[in-house]
Amino acid sequence: MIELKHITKWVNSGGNRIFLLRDINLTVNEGEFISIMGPSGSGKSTLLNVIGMLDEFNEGEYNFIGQPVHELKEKHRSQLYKSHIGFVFQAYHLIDELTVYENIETPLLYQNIKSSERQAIVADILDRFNIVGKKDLFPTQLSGGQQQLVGVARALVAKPKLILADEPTGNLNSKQGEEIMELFKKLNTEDGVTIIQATHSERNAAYGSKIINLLDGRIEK
Amino acid sequence: MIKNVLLIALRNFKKDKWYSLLNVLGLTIGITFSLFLIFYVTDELNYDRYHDKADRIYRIVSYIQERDKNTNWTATQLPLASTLKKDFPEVEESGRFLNRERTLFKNGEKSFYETKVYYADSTIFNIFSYKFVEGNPTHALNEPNSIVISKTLAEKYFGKNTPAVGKSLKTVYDLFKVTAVIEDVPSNSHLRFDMLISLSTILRGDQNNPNSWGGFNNFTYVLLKPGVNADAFNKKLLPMYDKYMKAIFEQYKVKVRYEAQPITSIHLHSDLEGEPEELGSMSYIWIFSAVAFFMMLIACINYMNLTTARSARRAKEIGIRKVTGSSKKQLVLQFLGESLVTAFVAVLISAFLVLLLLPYFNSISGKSFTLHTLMQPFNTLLLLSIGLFTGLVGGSYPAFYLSGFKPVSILKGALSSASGNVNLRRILVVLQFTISMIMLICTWVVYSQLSYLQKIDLGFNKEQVMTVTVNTGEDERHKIYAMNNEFRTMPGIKNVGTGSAYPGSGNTNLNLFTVQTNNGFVDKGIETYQVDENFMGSLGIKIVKGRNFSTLADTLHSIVVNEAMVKHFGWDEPLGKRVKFPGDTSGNYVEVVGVMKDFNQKSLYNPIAPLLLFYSPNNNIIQLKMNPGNVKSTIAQVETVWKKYFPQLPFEYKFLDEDFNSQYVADQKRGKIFAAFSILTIFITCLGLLGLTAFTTQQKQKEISIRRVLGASTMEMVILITKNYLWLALIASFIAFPVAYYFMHNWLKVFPYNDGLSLIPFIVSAFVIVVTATITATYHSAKAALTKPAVVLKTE
Repeated sequence: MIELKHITKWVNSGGNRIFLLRDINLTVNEGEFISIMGPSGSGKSTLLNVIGMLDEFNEGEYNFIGQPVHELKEKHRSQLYKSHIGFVFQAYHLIDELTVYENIETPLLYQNIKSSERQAIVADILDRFNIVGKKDLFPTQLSGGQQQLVGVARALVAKPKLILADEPTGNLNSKQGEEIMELFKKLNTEDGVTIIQATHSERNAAYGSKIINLLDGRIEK
Repeated sequence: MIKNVLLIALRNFKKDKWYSLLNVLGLTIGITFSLFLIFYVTDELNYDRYHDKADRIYRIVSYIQERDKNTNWTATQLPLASTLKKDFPEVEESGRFLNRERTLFKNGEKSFYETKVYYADSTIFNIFSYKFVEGNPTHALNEPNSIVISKTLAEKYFGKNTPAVGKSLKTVYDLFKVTAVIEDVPSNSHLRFDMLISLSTILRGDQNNPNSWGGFNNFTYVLLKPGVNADAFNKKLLPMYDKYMKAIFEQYKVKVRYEAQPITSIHLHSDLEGEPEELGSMSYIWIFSAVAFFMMLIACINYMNLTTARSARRAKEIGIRKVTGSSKKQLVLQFLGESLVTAFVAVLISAFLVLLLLPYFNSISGKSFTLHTLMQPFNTLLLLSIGLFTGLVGGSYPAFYLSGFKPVSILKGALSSASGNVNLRRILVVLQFTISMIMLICTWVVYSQLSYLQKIDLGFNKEQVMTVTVNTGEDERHKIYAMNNEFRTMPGIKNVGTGSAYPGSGNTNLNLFTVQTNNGFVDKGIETYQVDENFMGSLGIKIVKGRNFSTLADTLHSIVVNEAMVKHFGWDEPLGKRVKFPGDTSGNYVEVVGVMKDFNQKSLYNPIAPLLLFYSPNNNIIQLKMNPGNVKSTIAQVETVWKKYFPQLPFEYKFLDEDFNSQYVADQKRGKIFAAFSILTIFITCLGLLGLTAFTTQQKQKEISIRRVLGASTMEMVILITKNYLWLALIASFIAFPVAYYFMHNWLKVFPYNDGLSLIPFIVSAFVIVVTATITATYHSAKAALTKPAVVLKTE
C-alpha cells in the first residue's frame, strides 16, 4: 500500500543543512498497524506528514496504492489523501466554532456527498462511537478524551484506507489513552483499517503489529 | 456546503460580537453615507434627462460681443424660435419661455404670490415631456389667457382631488383660464415652473413686438431632428446675424452669435448669464464622488484590516479544513462567502438607514429625494454591486492569502505569529489617516472662508435693514410717498430709503453709456439703478467726495458713482465728469455730483464693478433701517400701514443681511455636507483603528506580559504600542498636507475676497488625527498592559 524508497528531507538553516529524514525505506501493507517510536526530534511527525502528503520531501520515491506521489501535482495529491487518509492529532484540532456533529461532517462536505447520505454516515459513526448524546455540543464543552474520540470519528467518517495518528494519546490521561488505543486496535482488526501511529509510549506502541524505531531521521535496524 | 459557510460566519460573528459589530457598523456607515453622496451625484448628473427626447433638445443661447465686453446670455429674441423652424430643416420643433415677474394670483379668498411663472408657446409640449394630469397638450396654450398649472398649484388654489381645468385664476388686471394641469416639474430641471401662460397673451399690442430682433428676453428651445450634428448646426446659425440683426446692431458695434446648448449639459456646464435656476458645479460632482469613493474605501479598508487581523485566529480552522480535504478553492469560497454575508448585512442595514435619514439629508442638501425616486432598478443594482464590491475586496486578502498556507505550518502555529501582512495593514492605516486629514483640512478651510465672507466689510451696513417691495405693475409713487412718511413717524424706524434695486438684489441694469475720460468719450456697459436721497443713509453707504442726491433737481441731471468707476476711467477729478447715452445727439448729459465708497453690489464671488446711480424718488423697493430693540412690534406696525395703502397685496418682507447671505447658500449647503462627511470619515477611521489596535495588542499580549515580567512599566508599554500609530499619523500628514494645499489653493481662487491659506488648519488637523489615533490606541494597549502577566503566560 505504501512504499517509501530512499526518502530524504532536509531544511537549510544558516548555511547548514539539517536532515529531518535520511534515506527512509519503508513498506506498509494493507491491514497493518504500525507504531513509529523515537525520542523528540527523531522525525516521527515529519515522517507521518510525508506519508500523509501534508509535507514534501527532497529526495526519494513514494508510492501510495500504486500512485507515484512524488510525481503528482498538488491537486491530485490532495485528491488522493482526501479520499484515502484520515488524520488524528495530538491536539485533536477540532474546529471550535462547529459542533461535534458538524466537525465530523466536515470531511464529507469536501467530498461532494449528498446531504441525506452525509446525515446517515455521521449518524452511523456517532452511534458506533457512542457519542450521539454529545452531537450538539461544541469541542470546548468536552473532555480531552471525548475530543479525541471526535477526532478519531472525524478521521474515520470518510472511510479512509489509512489512519495517520500523531501522538494520539499525548494529551490524554492513561485511562482515556487506553480507550483510544483499544479503539484503534478494534478498527484495525475488525474493519481492516491500516493504521500508522507515532508515539512515545512503549505501551501504546505494543498495540501495533510492527514497531519502527526512528533516531535522528533514520530507521534503526 | 453553503449552509456550513453561513453557519461558521454566524458563529464567528457571535463569538466576537464586539468586533463583528464594529466591522459591520463601520461598513454600514460607510455604505449609507456613500449612498447619499452617490444619490446626490447621480441626481446632479441626471438633470433634464427625464425628457423622452432629452438628447435632441437644445437651448439656443446668445454670445453678444460689445465693444469692450462680451456677454454670454441665456436669453434670445422673440422671433428666433419661429425663424429657426422656418429656415432650418434640421429643426423639428421650436418653442419659447418668457419669464413673468412675481405676480399675485387669486381664486376667491385664496391668493398667493407666484414666482415661477413663464409665458410659453404651446409647441414646447412637443419638445419637453411634461406629464399631463388633466387637459390636452395640443390645445393647452393656444388661446390668450390660457394657463397650464402644476398639480401642487392646482391643489393650492382649488383643493385636492377637484378638477381644475375650466376654472380660472385672477390677477389684479387679468383673468386666466386653466386649460391643463401637469405633474410638478421635476426638481432636477434647469428650468422649473409652477405655471405657464400662453405666450399669445402678451404678444398683443405693441409692448412685445414678436418681430423685433432688438430685445433679448426669452429662452428659445429647439428639438433637432434625429442624427443632426449640433456643431454643424451651430455653424449654420452664424449667417443669421447678417440676415436679421445687422441692421439694428451694427451701428453700436454689437455682434451676436447663437449656439445650440444641449439641455442635459446646462445644469453642470453652463457658464452663461441669466440662468433661471441655481446651477450645479462639476467640481462639486468630482469632490462628492471622491468623498463617496474614499468613504467606501476607508470602510473597506477597515473591514479588510479587521478581517486579516482576526484571520490569525482562524488559522487553526483553515489548517484543519485543509487536512480534512478542503481545496484552496473551497477555502477561498468560504472566506469570500463570509465576507459577502457580512457585507450584505451591512448593505441591508444601510438601505434601511438611508430611508430613515432621508429627510435629514434632504434638508441639508436641498434635494427632494423620496422613497419613490430612490426605488429604481439602478439603485437596487447599485446596492447589490456595493455589497459585492465590499464583500469581495474585504474578503479577498484573507481568502487568498490565508488559504495559501500549508496546513502543517498552520497547525504548528507558524501563522499566528506571522499574523497576516503587517506592512499591508500599516499602508492601509496611513491611507486612512491621509484621507481623514485631507478632509479635515478642507472642511476647515471651506468653513473659515465662508465665515470670513460673513465678516468682511461690504461697504454698507446690512444689519437691521428690512426691505419691502411694492409690485403692482402700476405707478404707485404717490402712495409710496405717503406710506414712507408714515413709516418715518414710527419710533422703531430710523431711516427710510427707496431704490429700484439694493445690494444683493440682482435686478440692476447693465446699460451702455458714453463716458467722459481724459482721452475723450468712450462707450462702456455699466451697472446702474435708481435710488432716492435716503437710500445711502438707510444702508450706511458713505459719500467720499462731493454730495449725495438732494432734490428733485437731481433727476436726469446728477449721478453718483462708486470708487471703482472713478478708478476704471482714471478720473483725477470725478466731480463734474459727464456721461451721455450712446446715440443721443441732443447734447444732453448727466454729471457726476458725488462718489460713494465702494460697496459690494453683488456677492463676494464678484469683485466690485463700476456702478452708476440715478436719482428717482419713491422707488418700489423700500429699505427700512430699524432701531435695535423691539423688531417684532415694528414689523407689526409696518404691516398695519402697508395694509392701509396696499390692501390687495400680501405683506412680505426680507431682511437685508439674510437676503445678502443667501447668495452663499449653495456653498454653505455644500460646506455642510462636506463637514458632515469628513466627521463621518474620521469616525469610521477611528472605529477601524479601535478594532485594529484591539487585535494587535491581543497578538502582542505575550510580548507585553514578558516585558512586564522583566520590569517594564504600564506607561512604557502604552508608549511602545501607540508609538507605531504616531509614526503612521506623521507619515500621513506628509502626504496629506501638499494634497490638501493643492485643492484648497485652487478652491480659494474662485473668491476675489479670501483670507488665504493659513497653517493653522493643517497643524490642528494633523494634531486632531494624531490625538484621536493615540487615544484609540491607548485604550487597548493600556488594557493589555494592565492585565496580569501570569494570566497571559499561563494560557499561552
